[in-house]
Amino acid sequence: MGDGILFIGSVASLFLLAVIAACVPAFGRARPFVAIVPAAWAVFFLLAPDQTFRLPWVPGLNLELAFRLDPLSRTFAVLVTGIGSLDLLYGYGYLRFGRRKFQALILVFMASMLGLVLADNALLLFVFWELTSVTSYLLIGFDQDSPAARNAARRAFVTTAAGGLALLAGLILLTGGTRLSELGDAAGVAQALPALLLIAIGCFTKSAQVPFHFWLPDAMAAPTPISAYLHSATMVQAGVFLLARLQPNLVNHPVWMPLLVTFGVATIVWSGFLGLFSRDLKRILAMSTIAALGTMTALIGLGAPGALLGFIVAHALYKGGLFMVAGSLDHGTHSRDALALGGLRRLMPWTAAAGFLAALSMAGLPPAVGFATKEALLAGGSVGVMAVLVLYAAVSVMPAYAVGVRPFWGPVASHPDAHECNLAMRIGLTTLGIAGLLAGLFAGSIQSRLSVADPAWTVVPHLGVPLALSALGVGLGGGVAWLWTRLASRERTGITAGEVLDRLLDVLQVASLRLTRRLQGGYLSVYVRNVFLAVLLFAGMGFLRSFALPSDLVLTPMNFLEGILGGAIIVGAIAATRSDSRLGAVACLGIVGTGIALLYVLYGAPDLAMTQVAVEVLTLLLFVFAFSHLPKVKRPPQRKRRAFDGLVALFVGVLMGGLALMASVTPPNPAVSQFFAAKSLPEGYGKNVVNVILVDFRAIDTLGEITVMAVAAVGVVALLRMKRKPEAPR
Amino acid sequence: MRSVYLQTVARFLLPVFVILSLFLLLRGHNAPGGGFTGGLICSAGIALYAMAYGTALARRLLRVDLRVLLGIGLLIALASGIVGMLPDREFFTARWVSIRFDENNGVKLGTPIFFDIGVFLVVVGMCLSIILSHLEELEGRR
Repeated sequence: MGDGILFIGSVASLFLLAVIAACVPAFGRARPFVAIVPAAWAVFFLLAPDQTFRLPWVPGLNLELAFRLDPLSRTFAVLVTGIGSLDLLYGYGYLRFGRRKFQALILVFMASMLGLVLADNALLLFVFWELTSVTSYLLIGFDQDSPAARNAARRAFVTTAAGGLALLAGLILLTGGTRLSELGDAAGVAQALPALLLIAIGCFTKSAQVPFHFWLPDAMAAPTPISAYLHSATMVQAGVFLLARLQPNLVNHPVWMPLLVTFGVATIVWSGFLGLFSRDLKRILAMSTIAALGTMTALIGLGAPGALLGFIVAHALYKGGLFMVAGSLDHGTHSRDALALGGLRRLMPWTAAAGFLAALSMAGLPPAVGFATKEALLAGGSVGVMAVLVLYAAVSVMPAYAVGVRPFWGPVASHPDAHECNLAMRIGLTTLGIAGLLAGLFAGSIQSRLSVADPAWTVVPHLGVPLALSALGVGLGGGVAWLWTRLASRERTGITAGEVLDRLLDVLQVASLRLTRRLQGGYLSVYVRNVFLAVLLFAGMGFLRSFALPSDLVLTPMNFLEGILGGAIIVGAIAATRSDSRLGAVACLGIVGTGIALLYVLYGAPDLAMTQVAVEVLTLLLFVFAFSHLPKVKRPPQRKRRAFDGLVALFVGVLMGGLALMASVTPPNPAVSQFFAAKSLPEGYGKNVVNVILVDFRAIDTLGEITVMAVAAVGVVALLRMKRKPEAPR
Repeated sequence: MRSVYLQTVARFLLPVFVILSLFLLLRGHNAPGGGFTGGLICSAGIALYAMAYGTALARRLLRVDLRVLLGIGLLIALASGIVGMLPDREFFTARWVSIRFDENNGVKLGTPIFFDIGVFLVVVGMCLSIILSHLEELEGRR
């Protein structure tokens, strides 16, 4: 267990920290120091050697906690925790309200993302995957009162959760429970193609590839600290991570490369196109993130995962930095219009510097790390890789310029009363900017740390094909940027895929409303009738098919007590239907219930009897109390309705009676009850076998039951509350 | 129903119900009873009190919010299962501790009782959530 500390300790400590951050009320000064914990983990992960860890749980089902640390997971782990800690600080400075919620949610997300990248077991990875979807839903909808935020959160969640289901199916088909690290060449596995497609759907939805990209720009409705973390550096990378993780296993499959390259390139082109028409700083950055994800996908398809790690690191640093710059601009000028901002470098020097450094790295210019990694990829890659990178450069100069340079350029400040951001935000900004620079200068040692064997990373430009291609890319990018300045003022509207999703969900809502109105007319008798009809339909069919009484059936004669009780029950039931007053009917039903309880006592089940009596008492109290509030007049139902109801009741009664008869006549397997009766006292230390079964032998079943009860209670309360305060739909 | 009869009766019966429910809870392992029955009886007592004195007073009597009660019940039930797991056994392995007073008398304490307590709290929470919400709705109509 000793070397599980790194894996289990990191994930568990972050979850724990989230709980602490949530429960302890806003304690002001100490909050920023929460960021120290993830930063510490980042350092640990950077220095830790490659290792794996296993904690078996159910070996027969291949369920275990399996983790592994290798260059790919280490890179992501350091990014997740490192940028996360900076973002915690930045968010503390950015948000006026909701700091507690922010920290708690970000920490839970961080823990889930960390678990995702460290997981070695496919199901474990899936659990963390879904956790990130759920937490990102909560984070995108951070501003609960804004319908735009709620809508964006819903879109994101529906898309990624649907993808998640596909992913689960694909992972199970592909791995069947083996650990990912031991998967080997899976391209020849029997169902490799459907598995590949399903996994691709899962990864494409998460990483916003075309046509599943639409949720990402909408997710910009979240506060900037959240966008900086989720939608640049971490969550959207989960799909890319998984594709990179599975690359060695699936690379030999004929569909792998064309699939990834096609979607990746389409994503770059489409997002670049959409970006041309964007004015909002965050939307520009969202489009460029989509383009970067497309680039990563295409590069994985083309088989360059080694230097790809460098690309991912560089992207996380500069994209996170640019988002923070956008947030700082928003904070200081209350404007996110890229065309309206300018000349702010004197008023916001730190932001300007950070923006400049990030822009440098994004455009792939020396001496930033973006340049070093790009050169390495170009030097070691095929023609396809080169083409993709030039394409990426062409679409990424514009965002770098628009967010990192243009707002600060120019003689006159567009917003004279702009102010620089506070210390907490500055720390995050400048750290990322400087990190990009330092990573570039020390690219060599980073490369060895990530144990990538490709051509050496260096920021010193030297003549050759890579440099020419870079220049070409930057040149094209400049042209695109110029095009943007022309086109951005016309904001393009039209039907987006997101709106199609919204319409679909609306149709579903309307249809279900209509169905509900048909089935639930508001009268209790209608509900009961529908339930009984359903029972007759489904249970009745099965019953008719399998009803059989054994031929040697012997009917024991009824004894006196049974006769009296049975008679009382029958009389009570008939009286209930014929009664004129509601209270009278309820009283007769009480007779029926009590009679049944006494029958339980007679047959030796006192626990059941007590529960039955308690339920009778409770419902009787409720009925009486409710009836005292109802109007006196009762509408008598029509003849035809009564006849139909009587028929339904008759059939249901026959069905239930038949089922009870069959159940009592079919000999149960004595082994189970004998086991329980025998072991209850010696091993369960209890003489009440029923209770010992409930809380000891079958405790897990009972746990499920009480969970359902709790959920039902919450549901009922929520429904009743909604009725009291009607709110507009959606 | 602010009837004096109901209020007097409820005032005296409430402790009886609650004590009876605890009694049933604790004896459940060796005699008829258990968490479910105890929870129902406790809810019945508090529901009677709520009908007599109003739901606001009943909720104040409980001191904790019902959702919190549900959560605590589930947590206790879950914890009793995890405790069984700790030194290398499976989830929900029951742990027992034997306390001997003298030769013939002794008591065995174990994790199943905590599970039953969790069940008790969840049943109380669930029944009261539903009953008190309905009662509040009826009160509001007045």
